[in-house]
Amino acid sequence: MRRAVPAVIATLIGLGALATFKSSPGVSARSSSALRIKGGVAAAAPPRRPATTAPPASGGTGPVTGTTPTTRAGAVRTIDGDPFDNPYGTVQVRVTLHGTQITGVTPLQMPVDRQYSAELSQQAAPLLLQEVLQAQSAQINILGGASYTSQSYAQSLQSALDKAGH
Amino acid sequence: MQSVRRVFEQWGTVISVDLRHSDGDRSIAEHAIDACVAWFARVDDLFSTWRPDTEIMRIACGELAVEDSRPEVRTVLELCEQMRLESDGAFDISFGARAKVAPRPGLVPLDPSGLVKGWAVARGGDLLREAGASNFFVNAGGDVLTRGRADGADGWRVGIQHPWVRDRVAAVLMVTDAAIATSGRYERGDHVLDPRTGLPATGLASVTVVGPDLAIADAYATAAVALGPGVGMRWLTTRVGYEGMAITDDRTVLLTPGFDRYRVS
Repeated sequence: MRRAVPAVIATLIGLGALATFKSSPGVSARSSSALRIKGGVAAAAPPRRPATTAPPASGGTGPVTGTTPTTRAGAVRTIDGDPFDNPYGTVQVRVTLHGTQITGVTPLQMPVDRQYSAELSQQAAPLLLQEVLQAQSAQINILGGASYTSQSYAQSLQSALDKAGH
Repeated sequence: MQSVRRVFEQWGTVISVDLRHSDGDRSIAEHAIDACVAWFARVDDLFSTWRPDTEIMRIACGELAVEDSRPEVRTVLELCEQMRLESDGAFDISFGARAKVAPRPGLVPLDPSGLVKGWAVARGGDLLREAGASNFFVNAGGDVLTRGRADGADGWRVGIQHPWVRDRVAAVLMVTDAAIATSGRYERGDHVLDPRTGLPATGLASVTVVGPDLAIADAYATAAVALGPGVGMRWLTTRVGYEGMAITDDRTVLLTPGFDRYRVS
């Protein structure tokens, strides 16, 4: 399995860099863009090559059949690559672009799931993603992360969540 | 579907148990929750670090040998040791015993509370399941165990508290069977110490970990806060089956690659 890692990485990089971009209008960019971590946080430099000039990947990612999306500079979009089978499983990634520059790559499917990340971390920095913190109000059933010491507060809060949810 | 809910204080925080059941099964649901509540009280009797007579405190002061303690205590101590090794010392329940750590209220020589709450809630969830419950959640001071789904939904929508804006959430997750643990400095001040230095951990306001087991998610979240934004989050990406979301002091969000699989907003 260890020998598979370089091939998977190559495939991932290939997919991230060009793949067969399928422009999917249904996938809207998050209001906060996914950015690859820079500098001191994760060791690997983000891919800076515009998608339009990326060389073909050696990992057997298939021919480029789609058109590389063009848009006004600075617009943020997310685009799902097509799923690709390799001897180890299926690989599919979601790419975030600022204009034509790739700023984030999220794996949607990986052959060995988290084992991939575990092994990748020994080869290079794993793909941590970075976003701007959002303050949302949303319908939820449960509020996690908040440590209350008052029973009544918790009850009141939960009842409010219940009302919002129905 | 009917809902039976119990909210009670335990371990210095508030626990909610919420169980959805069919019409007519109310007494079964009540009994299931009773068993869960009794279990949590037993956990407090064994593990509280705020009372001198618990097994964990008697072990800490040398009064009780680990091999003479209850099986639950030995299980937790073994799990804590496993977490210490996995995190290279970032999760360490015995750092309070070391001289270089400045004394402060609540700091005791042996403190497994970074894992016990999650572990106890996970076992409580097992009790609820054994009693026949399949759709429920337990929220113990912000650490959440979910099973099944809410009425008419695909799962449970779990909001993650925004660290600085009380009535807002930083993310919403959709889960069915999951454990979601959060460690951080918000709500209770600067309460995560880096066991390797004895100083308060810096850089991360909170880390939320999602995965199959709440004890492990709890320990991972605690370790990641201690390790800080770079090392901690990169370490989390290497934990098989677990995903993390961190909020840094400078208000950015760091995500492990698979975290988005749970996130709906």
